[in-house]
Amino acid sequence: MVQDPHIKQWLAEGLITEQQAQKMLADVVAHRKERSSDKLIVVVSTIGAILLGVGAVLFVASNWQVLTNLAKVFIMAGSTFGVAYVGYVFAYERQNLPKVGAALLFLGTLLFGATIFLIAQIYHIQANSHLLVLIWLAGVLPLVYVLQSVPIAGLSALLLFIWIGLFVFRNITLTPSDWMALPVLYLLSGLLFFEAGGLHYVSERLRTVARTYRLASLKVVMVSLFLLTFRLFSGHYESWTPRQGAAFSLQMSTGIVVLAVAALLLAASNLFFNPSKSDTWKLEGGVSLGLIALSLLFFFFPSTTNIYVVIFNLVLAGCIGVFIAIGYQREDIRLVNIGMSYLALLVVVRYCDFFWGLLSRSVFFMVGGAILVLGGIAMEQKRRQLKAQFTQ
Amino acid sequence: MRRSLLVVGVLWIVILAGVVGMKEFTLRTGKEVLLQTVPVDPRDMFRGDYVILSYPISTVDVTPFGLKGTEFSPGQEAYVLLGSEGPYSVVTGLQRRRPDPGILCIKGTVRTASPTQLIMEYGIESYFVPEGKGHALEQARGKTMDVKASIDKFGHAAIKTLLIGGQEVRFR
Repeated sequence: MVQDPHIKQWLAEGLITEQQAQKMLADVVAHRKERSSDKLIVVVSTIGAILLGVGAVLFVASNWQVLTNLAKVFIMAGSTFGVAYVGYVFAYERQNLPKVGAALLFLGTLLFGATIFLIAQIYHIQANSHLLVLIWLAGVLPLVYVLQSVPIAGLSALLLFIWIGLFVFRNITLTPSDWMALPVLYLLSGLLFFEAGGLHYVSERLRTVARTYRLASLKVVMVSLFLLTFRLFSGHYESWTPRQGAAFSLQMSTGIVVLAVAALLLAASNLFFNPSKSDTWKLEGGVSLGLIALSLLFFFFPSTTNIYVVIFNLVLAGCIGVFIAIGYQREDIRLVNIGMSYLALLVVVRYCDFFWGLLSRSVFFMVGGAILVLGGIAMEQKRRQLKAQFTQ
Repeated sequence: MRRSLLVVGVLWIVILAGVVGMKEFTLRTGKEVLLQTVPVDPRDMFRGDYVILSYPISTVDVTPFGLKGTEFSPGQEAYVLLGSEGPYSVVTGLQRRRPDPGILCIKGTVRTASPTQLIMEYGIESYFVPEGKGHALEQARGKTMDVKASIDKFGHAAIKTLLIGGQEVRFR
């Protein structure tokens, strides 16, 4: 995109006249304002859409005894299809209110889920059934590919990770060790989804979907890695090792292996084909493969020492560095933000871990507070600097 | 675009109609049975506005049927044969595959398996009450609570009504 320095350079080189430069500068300013305004419209429309959906659900809930089962289903299904149709008209037929139309289509997917859970209530199906979430996901997923909508892709990613948790809790009798393996399960799920997202770059139409899936799965991977930096999940205490004694259930072990193999295959595909045409694909693939290998090693060869705690802390620090490095290279402020957020979190948590017992309480809080304030100022200044640099 | 969205719309209708249809089929064509419930922890009994239900048929003693609990694993499906004992339906057998048509059975999922016992789930372990009406049911503690359920020819069960002290619970 043309920026102010480009225009000034062209004017200085005599490529454009003063009048043309003024017009171009005015266009650039107008374009920036429109982008900000667009974002505001999307936020306001989406909030409005969600409130409409909540209102429909509350209407049915407050008139539960009065309405028949069929009436309840028709009201919710009717709202779902009505809202989705209006959204389609605004966004694709008349194209006069594209942002509002997109927000209404997103609301339609939320109402679809609400209708499924309403039907579950009518027929007394257990609300935490993983099948309900799977059915919701099955309805939402085709829309992701038809509309290439970022909010709907984000919703499908959220539903997938929720389904994984519900499936594990419902269909598996968890041993005490299984609970400790949940971060590993989500780490591998996140990596699998990250690689699956990468394959979406094969189609130019699905670039936004690919990026949404990858960002969502990166967040899951980072949260899982962060949890694994704690002794509760990867180490031991003086008198107790969380994973000692109880073996993993066959279901959990099978699930871990299946996820790891699937993630491995997709990572290899992305490394071989590089559908994203990324400059950093080797680094991404290498980190992915490394994390898969580490997960399997940790799962099948546990230790009664704290060696894995150290390893996961180093790995998390390394991943933070990778985020920031790739963010710099691609001028992608979101990746830099993720990296910086986890850097701040890691510093705070490890500070508490190391110094809680070593310093007196007053010194602990004063030093900790000073680090947070100064660190926050430094990070915010750096972030703004990067944002300005990337948008130039 | 229009055609694609139409296909998705039809898919949504099929999904919703399918879920409703399956339950309506069970309720309309199934055999009505009366199931006794067993007391659960009163503090957990009413989670918000739904009732947690547990049944004597949820715990299946496998030894009378010449089976071992270790032959089953959590998540596995099994069919519990039902017979009558007074007004209630009770366990009379256990099979891995669906029995012959005409034999009343309820399809369940093994939750836990010990050498002599299976804890089963049948999908009828919760009963939703209208918002704010859970309190009225809480006051009925101490009375018998039974469930009238419908079981179709495939073994799927659906709750028809809740009975407290032999009286059908109605919410106004």
